Amino acid sequence: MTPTIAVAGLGTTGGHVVRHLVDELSPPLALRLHDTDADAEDRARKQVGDRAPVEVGRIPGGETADVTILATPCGDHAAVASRLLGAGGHVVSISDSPDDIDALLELDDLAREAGRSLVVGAGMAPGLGCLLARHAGNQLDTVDSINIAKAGTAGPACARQHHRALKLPGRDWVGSGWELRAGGSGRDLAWFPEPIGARDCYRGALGSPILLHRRYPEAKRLSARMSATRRDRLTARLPMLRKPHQDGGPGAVRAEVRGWRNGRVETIVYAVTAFPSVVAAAVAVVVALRLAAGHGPVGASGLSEWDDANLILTELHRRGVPISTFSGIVGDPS
Amino acid sequence: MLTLVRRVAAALGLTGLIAMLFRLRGRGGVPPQTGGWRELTEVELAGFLADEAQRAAAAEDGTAEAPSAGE
Repeated sequence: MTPTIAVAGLGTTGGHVVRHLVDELSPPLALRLHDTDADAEDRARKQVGDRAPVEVGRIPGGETADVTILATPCGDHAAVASRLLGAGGHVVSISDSPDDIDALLELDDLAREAGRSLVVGAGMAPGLGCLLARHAGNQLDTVDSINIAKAGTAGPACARQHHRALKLPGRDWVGSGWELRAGGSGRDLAWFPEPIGARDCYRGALGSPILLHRRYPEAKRLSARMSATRRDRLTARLPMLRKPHQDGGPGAVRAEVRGWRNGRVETIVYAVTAFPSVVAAAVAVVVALRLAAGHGPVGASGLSEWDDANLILTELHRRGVPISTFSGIVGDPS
Repeated sequence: MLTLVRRVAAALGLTGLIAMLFRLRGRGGVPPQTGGWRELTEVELAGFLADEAQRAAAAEDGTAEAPSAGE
């Protein structure tokens, strides 16, 4: 039977989600699309054309889709996910807001009772960052620290969340507890693959450490940073001074994982440079397709908890997401 | 006023002198000439999958090496 995948939110990232769902790498699907903007729904319907049966309307509405991808702006993902899980569907949320992530993780019991998967933070960071961290962690005997850094934004809603995140405190796991650190503090120069290159990154309200802690509770340090310019930091506490771009352009995500392998300290660094909107959509789609095929853990989970993280990375590579590793002096001072 | 000007000039001069000393006498060494970003191939990702399967099997058998805290 052809699985039905619903997409809620047809903005920049949601549009790419629809495009990935109907490309030649995806199996035959039925789609259900929803946005508060009727024009966006029309555009998405035209984008699909005759490549898949499409139904446009409220979600959940009528028969529940097998999997619903929530690509709406941050804020109400938990409320919608709760309704969808109750109706018997799997849910994939791309929200990167820590408030959303906390609320979604609280739906774990509901998802388990329903025997369904609720995937939290299935975008670029968290999402791809968690997959890269897990991929590195799989090659180590124990993981001591993970640092995720990201640069760039997807669509306007993502840019607003990025702006908001820079002024809010972020949670870092240090030693054996969470520490609240001021947004915009902790400058760290992070190197991303070209064309992004070196960027100053700062703390903020970022969700990756919350999700990574579920997979690596024994790690001594879990942190995340986001790139920002001096102007970003100066204006973080003000409303956005101009309308965000329709697409934030190229961005990157980087996972630096330190730990032990065969009695030696090792550092593994993976990164991806690409358009955040495209990458976030690809991650959400690959995860949704795995759920539709009957794979994935029951209950609420981040992507670092998925045992088949490498299969997802391989599939992302097939879809044109370039995964790079840093080789050189890191962990090899000779 | 003249005192202020003299102090500012002295501070700037001292700063320049220190900067010049660092510049001329500093031994920063040679920056790294190797390493960098390298894109993983699908074959490598598949190889990692095989490695992981081996490691998982070793862990199940209890033959995985434990890290030593001494290093």
